Amino acid sequence: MNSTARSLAWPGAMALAGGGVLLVFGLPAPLLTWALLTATHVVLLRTLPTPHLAAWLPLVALSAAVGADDSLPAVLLAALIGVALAGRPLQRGAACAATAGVPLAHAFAVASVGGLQVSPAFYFAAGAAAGATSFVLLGSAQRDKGLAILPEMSLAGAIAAGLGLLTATAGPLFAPLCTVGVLVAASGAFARREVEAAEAHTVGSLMRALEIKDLYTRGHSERVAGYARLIGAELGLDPVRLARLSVAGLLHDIGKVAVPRRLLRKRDRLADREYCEIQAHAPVAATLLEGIGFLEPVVPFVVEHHVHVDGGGYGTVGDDGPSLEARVLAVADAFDAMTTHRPYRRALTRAYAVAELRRCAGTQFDPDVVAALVHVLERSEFVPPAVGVESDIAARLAALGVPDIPEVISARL
Amino acid sequence: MHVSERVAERRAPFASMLGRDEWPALIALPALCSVIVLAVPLVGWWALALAVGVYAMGFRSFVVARSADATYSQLVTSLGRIAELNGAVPAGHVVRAADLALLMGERLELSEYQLATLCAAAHVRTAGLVGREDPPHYRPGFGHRSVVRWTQAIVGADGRLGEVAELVDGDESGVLGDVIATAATYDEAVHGMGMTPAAAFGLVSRDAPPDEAAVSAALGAVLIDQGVVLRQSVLESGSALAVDAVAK
Repeated sequence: MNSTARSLAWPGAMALAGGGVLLVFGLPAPLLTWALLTATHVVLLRTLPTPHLAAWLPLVALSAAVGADDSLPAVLLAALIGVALAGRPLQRGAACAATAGVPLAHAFAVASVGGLQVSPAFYFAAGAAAGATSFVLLGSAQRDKGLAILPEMSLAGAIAAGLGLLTATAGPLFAPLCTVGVLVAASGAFARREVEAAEAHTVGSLMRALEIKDLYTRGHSERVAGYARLIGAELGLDPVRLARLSVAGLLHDIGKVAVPRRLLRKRDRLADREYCEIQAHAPVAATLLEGIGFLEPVVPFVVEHHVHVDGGGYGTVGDDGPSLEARVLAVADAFDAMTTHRPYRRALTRAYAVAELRRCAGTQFDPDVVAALVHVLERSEFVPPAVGVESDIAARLAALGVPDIPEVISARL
Repeated sequence: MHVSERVAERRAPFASMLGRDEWPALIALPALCSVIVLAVPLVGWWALALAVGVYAMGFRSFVVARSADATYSQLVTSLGRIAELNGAVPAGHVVRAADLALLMGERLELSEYQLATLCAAAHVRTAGLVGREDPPHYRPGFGHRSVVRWTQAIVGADGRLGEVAELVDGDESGVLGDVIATAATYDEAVHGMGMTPAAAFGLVSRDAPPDEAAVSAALGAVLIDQGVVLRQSVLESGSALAVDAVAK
């Protein structure tokens, strides 16, 4: 059974199990329902290999035993179990505690006044407001994700409120279920964070491979990403395109992991054959990146950024010519290459680099993109993109006991 | 199921890493189904919609979590290509050695989690070769110490690949490391040095220390299972310890 079919089997089997219980037993005892559905779930989960399966079975049993008792200590114990189950979110700090805690507190507050006869819609709306409040209370690290998690948190709050209403209506027996219910609802936001962590890890790994190959290229990539982002913002790109542009800037030279180091650091003019070897880094980058799902949108930018607007250069491109992002990368790439020290020459002045970009505008570079870069540079508050790579890599490699890399030394000179 | 399908399935989703951190939510889902069953007769059908919403959200969490695992899996595959693209290892060597290591791991009855870690480590173990001077010199197994360190730096010691980073340290990675090194050495002997499978097995098993006889035996058993070599050839060419293990 493949993963998709296995995933789809979950809700179907759960529904069958729940329906079966209803048909056979009418309105069953909570413990029976809980145990049966949990057993069903465990059987299904057994198809997913997990080394911790045995570890959480006792917790399930304990929760079931507590859930069957509606005394106050039992409810409190169940709530405690709920908090323990939420260990992961809570370990992430105050922001995460707010994520789970605010809707949870709201749910119990609603439950405490549950004697009031108020429309369920009121509770859901109040819960959604609580969820949105939790979003506002999150730390800045989470807020900069934009409004992406707002729907999830609002839904989590609405669910919390609904479960609170359920508790008020049907009795404290439902309190432990409320607890875990809120945690499930909140887990969507944390799952999204796992994805973001995986994506950051992926970009970081590829960047580390690049810096081990050639430290200059890593620093250059970081600066290109910074310039590209500034240019993109000047051109009015939306946040999603800006984020992709930034990642494309970081990875635009990733194909150079396959270029011999002697060519990357050669002081003399490259022979034609050597130049061809350098050019191969574009398709190599595509080979490395195209299998990584979330990077697929940036692969064309990386492959096209050496294609000139007049059709010259190298790389593959569609009939419409290089994309706007690729044209931005081309300008940022050239500007940084000119204004930094290279093995074969010292850094050129910013004025010279701008003049050169203007001279090639319309043939090699997009004139609008060049103009955007000029606007960025002319701003009084302009600060060149920072590169923290040297201290970063030095600390990391020293911690690992990695032998010093020649490029680290030469780059510092 | 054909071997290649099993290998592909194991390699592709990096599945065994899934679920370790998500078990609280996995427990919570049955609870919410209980809410559905219990609440409807008491408070009305609106509770059903409520619980369905909860379940949908929890279910979506797993789907999203799966995409995180897929990303790690894709990264592992991509890192496995670096050394080949760099010309540091023969084409196809990384994937062949990883597949062989996986089959040997199954033969050794490693857990699903160990197999997933083994497979990932077998893929990424050569990534550190990008740090070597030109032309990179490849040695089967884990290679030079600095290559190991660079590989660990690339893979990253933190996050979900932390155990993979530990495993690529061939000197301290136990039987899993032995499996990877043996598989890589065998593949290099066959495809790099042009030896016959039986001769390569003999080379690997004779060079192995006594405590790695089980690993060599697993290689021999896999080769026989796959029809790569005849059982008699293995028994004739392997070390005494490995042959004994295969014979058992």
